[in-house]
Amino acid sequence: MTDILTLLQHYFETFYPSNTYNNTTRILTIGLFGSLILTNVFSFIAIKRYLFKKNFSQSKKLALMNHAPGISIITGAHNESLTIIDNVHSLLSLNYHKFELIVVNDGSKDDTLEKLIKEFDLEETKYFFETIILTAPIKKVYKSKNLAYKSLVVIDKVNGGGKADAINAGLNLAKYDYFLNIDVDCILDFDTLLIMMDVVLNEKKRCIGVGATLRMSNSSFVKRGTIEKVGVPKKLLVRFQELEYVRSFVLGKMAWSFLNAVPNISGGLGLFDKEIVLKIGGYDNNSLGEDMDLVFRMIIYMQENNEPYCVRSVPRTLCWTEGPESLKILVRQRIRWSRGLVQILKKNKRVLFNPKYGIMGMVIYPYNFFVEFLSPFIEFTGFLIMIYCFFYDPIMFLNMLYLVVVIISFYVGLSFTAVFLDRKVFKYYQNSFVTLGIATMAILEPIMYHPIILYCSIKGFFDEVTGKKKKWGVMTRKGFNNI
Amino acid sequence: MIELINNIPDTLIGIFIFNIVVVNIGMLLIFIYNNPIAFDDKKNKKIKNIFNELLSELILNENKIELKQNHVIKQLKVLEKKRMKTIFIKTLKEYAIFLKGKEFEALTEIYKSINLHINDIKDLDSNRVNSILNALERLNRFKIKVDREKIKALQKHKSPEVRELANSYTLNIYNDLDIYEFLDFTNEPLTPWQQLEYFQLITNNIEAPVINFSKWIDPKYDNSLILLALDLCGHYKQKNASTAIQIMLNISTDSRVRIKLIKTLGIINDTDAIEFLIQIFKIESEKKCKIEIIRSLGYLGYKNKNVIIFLENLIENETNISIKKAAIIGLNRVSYSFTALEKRIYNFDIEKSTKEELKVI
Repeated sequence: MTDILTLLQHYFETFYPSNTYNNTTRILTIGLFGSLILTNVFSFIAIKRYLFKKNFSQSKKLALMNHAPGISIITGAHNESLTIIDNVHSLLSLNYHKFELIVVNDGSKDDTLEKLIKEFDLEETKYFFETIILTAPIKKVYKSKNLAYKSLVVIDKVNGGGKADAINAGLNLAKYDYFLNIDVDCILDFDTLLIMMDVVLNEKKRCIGVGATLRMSNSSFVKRGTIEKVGVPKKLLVRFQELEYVRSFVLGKMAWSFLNAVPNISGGLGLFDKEIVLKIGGYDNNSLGEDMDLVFRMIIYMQENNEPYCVRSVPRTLCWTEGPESLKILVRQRIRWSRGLVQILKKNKRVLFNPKYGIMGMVIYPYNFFVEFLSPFIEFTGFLIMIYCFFYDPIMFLNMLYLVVVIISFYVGLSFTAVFLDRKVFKYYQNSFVTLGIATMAILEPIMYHPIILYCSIKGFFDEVTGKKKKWGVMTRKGFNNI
Repeated sequence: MIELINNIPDTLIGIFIFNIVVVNIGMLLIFIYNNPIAFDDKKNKKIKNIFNELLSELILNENKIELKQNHVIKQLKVLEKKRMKTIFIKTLKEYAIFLKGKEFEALTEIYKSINLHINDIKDLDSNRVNSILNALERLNRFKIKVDREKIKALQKHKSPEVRELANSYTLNIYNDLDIYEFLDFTNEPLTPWQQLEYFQLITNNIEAPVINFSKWIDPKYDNSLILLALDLCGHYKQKNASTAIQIMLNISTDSRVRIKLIKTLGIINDTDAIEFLIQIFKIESEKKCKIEIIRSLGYLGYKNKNVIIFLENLIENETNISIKKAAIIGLNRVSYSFTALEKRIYNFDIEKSTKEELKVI
């Protein structure tokens, strides 16, 4: 090992003298930081543009327009007995004139279905529909006897092994041109449908998907299915996730949205053009990152058919979701995400640097490959080199250490910007003290949280390569804090 | 140690400082500079609540209180302070969205009584797009009539947002014959929102002239404009649009346009188009279009033998469940025979096409 490293050192000294080293460092750091600053600037412009449009938006009028397109809300429920009633009430009370709610009971072993039947006065109904996407067998379809819940449809089906199968079953029954896919454990903003549809309708190109910001609901208070008071997560692990979500949605996704290169619409909340989703065969039941996989395939389909399209993200938090509170569940979730990414990259490798696929081939795929997929390995290798340098090359070690500090400080800066931007624009946190509390997590993140994510990314890759059995695992729900 | 620190590349130190200055402070300052109203949320909310109360009082009293003399307005210096004025206008605008009749008139009077409309009309000549938009939006919302020529110029403004708002304003305020002329010179496609809004504005404006909207059902216009024209033809039941629709159906390849064309043919109830629809059903390849043809025949073919036979044959021979479902509903409409329909539903064996669907039934 030492011989190899000495050889490498000799190689670098021969071919890259010290000024070359400085130049390389300069190019790399400027490239990295420049791209991140650019991301920041793009997201800033996108948010400003969103707020500017919001000033003149009359989206509230949509609630009164009979001609506005309808939306099918589809959600899968697997052993969600604890929160199902709150969630369905929340979804049924959304502010929109024309929508249906399709709840797919995906082979729950608890009393999810019984609770639904009792609460919403459901009865079995005959339902004629065309099976466009094959799914696990549907046992029964229920509708409510109570007219107040006439837009509710409950499908009871055999478990198909994942969320994708449940949503596909719902898609077969959905009657409107757009569908909203949400996790049943989510609580949505009252105006979610109006805000998301407003984005779709105001695009000149065909808008095939819209995502929005998600946030942790763990310490928030729910009253009759709506968020009454936004609380900051108390548990450290959830606070880290909150920071991660804010940074990712407010900065990352908005920048991608500005470039029309949104790589993923979270499975927690996404509005899609049903026609395109059906044309590509719905969600892939074999994928562990079915939400990202869907967006990838939709974009590829549009590019292959030369149809102008756009995918957008809304900076406002429209969805509150319960984040994993235990390390075990978090690790399992992140390993699944990592495996999902590997599957997607493997499946769509033909698009890499292929100009035929436009922004997908030249930006989205390369970014996900070089940054999302490779960076954990680069980080890990860098860490090993640092250990080596600590013993054999202290000057190089200090240089690297300084570089690490600079990178971390830069990320801390980005996190601070994201949190404060979010606070100033959307005012979810009650006061500056709370905002600062979340922002300071950015300082602890590189030491306490990031290594876990790094581990999950690498583990996910090896699990996928070694063909380890795919499992979704059980997400233990705590339920909402009801007022 | 000093020697070690000296070894750190200058670039890194530079970037470190740049990072702190640009990312942390710079971005925040830019944002704060652009959003003066974002300061002090709690105080803003309090002020907004005061304005809410004041406006409710004014609306209930049908604006019999002299606004300029109102102690709240005086005390908060609404007319002098920009921030107060902004919050007041924002509150006023929110009320104006849903109110109609006397309440709406009361709001307009409030808007006028503090001379906001005079400033807004002046702002229409501004060089700043933002000022024009804000002014136009308020004038539109409170239905203040402005010199038509001024708006005509704005309909050709370089900013698409201004053009859009000026078009909405035209449809909302004026009743002249030439209010639709912008549809002829608009080169860019209309967004789905514009289609919805223009449709709503035209149909809600009772005094607006109803012209022959089928003139835009022509391949030389953008599909989005054709869709709007179809909606309008459908709304006003313009039977004379039938010929243009049939010509367009033979040309258009866009399935969304075709669906709307077929649907409109059903809505305008031109029974002469029945044969044409049956003929195009045979050559149509898109399933959604086929379903729409059946639906339209359901509207058009009441007690029409040809349609009844056509739909009955479809129920017998068609394998696609969605088309069969549409045919059953269509037959129900045209034949008015509930017993026959029930019989068909119960003898209906298409649900046996897949195991899972069989379980459902």
